[in-house]
Amino acid sequence: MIASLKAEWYKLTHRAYPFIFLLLCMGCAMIIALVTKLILPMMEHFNMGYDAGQVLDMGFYASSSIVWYLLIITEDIAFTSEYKFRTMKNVITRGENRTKLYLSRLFMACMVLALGVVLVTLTYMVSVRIFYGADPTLTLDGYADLTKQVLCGLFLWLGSQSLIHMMAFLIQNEMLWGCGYLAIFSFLPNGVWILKSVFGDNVALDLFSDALLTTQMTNLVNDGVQDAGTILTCFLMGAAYMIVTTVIGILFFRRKEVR
Amino acid sequence: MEDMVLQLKGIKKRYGAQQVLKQVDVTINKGEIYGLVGKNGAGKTTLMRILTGLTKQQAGSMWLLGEDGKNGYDAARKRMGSIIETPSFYPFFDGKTNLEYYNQQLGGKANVDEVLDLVGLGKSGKKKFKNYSLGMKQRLGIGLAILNDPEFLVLDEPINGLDPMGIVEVRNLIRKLNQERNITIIISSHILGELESIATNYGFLDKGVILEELSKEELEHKCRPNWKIRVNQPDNVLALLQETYGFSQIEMEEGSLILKESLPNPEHVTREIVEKGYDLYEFSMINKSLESYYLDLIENHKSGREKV
Repeated sequence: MIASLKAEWYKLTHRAYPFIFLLLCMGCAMIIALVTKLILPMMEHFNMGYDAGQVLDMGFYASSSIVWYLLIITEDIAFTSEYKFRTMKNVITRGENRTKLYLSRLFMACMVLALGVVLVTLTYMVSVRIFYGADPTLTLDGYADLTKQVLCGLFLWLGSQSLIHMMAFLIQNEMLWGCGYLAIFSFLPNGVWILKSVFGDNVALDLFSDALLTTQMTNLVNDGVQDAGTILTCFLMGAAYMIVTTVIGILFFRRKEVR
Repeated sequence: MEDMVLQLKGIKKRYGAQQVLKQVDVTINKGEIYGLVGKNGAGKTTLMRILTGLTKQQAGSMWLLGEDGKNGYDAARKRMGSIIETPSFYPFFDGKTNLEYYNQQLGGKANVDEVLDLVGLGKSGKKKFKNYSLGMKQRLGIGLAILNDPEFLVLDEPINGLDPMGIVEVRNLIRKLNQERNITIIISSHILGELESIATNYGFLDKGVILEELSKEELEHKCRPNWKIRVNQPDNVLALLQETYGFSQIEMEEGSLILKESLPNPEHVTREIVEKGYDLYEFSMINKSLESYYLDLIENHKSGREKV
């Protein structure tokens, strides 16, 4: 397993793509903080002003939905189009354990995601501090709240990462797994909402809706400040997704014919 | 058993309604270069894919480098290298980075620079794989196959698409690996002339069935030249040759005599015919290549099946 992880780390660090992507995300975080500062006088003119504390809080709202989509790129970084380039066969033919291959790439995808989320969040926090200076609304509690929100979000995103990882391993066509994932995350919550509006309140639909990562994320955004109980719930939900999708993914991949 | 590298018995594989491999029995011993001969669609690549674990057979047994499958074949495959279909690498990496990645994956024991030198890519520099010529790609594929000093190489059509120069280079490299590193090799190709120049043993595959396995010597014996003798009185000359030289494998075909025995001194035979007063119109050697042997084998197998 160590050799597999070392190899994946070697591949990751010898490409410009992950670094460029990370820099772009960090740049976006800085730009968001800067733009809020630049348009603040204009907003105050319309009596719609906000303070630095609210801008800090906005960091999570901005990322809560966008990360669902960025996960496709994270998976692409870790999976590296193995079916498209037909490189998977190079390791399987050397007797490498398929479970090990699956897990090493999942680990790398999760690491890229976690590292990216931490760096982008830190960039945002530092940018807000730089652009707004010693604003009295920028309190330690504000930073701690954002950290807790991002931590909750990270558990859900990691669960989602393992789902998309399973799809990448099972579906040979990149476009197909990318679109399949988008369909699940974009349309499923709306589909449930439509069904609810047609059939009214239904226990099964409610249970199904509660089991969706997007529902949990919406609750997080609505609740704002998170406590230890919510962090634990998010952790358990992310872990459940990760375990179930990983087990399914490995079971299928072990039997899959590799081209 | 000690010298055996691979033994397949009754391997069968079906894709949907198509039975790609019907009955494959193969034995390969240490040090051999086993040429798997078969036309396109005969089942060569499917067989190679089974050997390398990319797919599984539905029936039959495999004995691979001492492993019989009870504990899986992964341990055996760690001592193997392969090229299946075309060599595949990350196009955005150069040759060295690609090999180093796989070297790390396999435990990082190989010296990548040494391997690149061996396959003639030591000076390819920072050129990315996507910009490699077909010959360079093929050589990098062989480089990957020989990482970690394998005992057994599985090469599926390694000369496909190469120019004449590339074919010579790859052929020499395969020979070198077999002779200098004592690597046992199974190599498939539908370019039979190429197999003829490197293989030490052959297996003839057609429509998913191994028709025959034989060594280079056995093949040479079977492909030894025939002699065509055209004379004015073939019946009399046939009797003369049988009486004088004791030829038993001589027969009449369309008015000519076909002698299917080795003939160390053909000039003695021609002199004998002429001295006995017969008119000799033609005395020629008919060479039988691997290709014609294979085609005859398929034809015989086909007519055999039709008779059944």
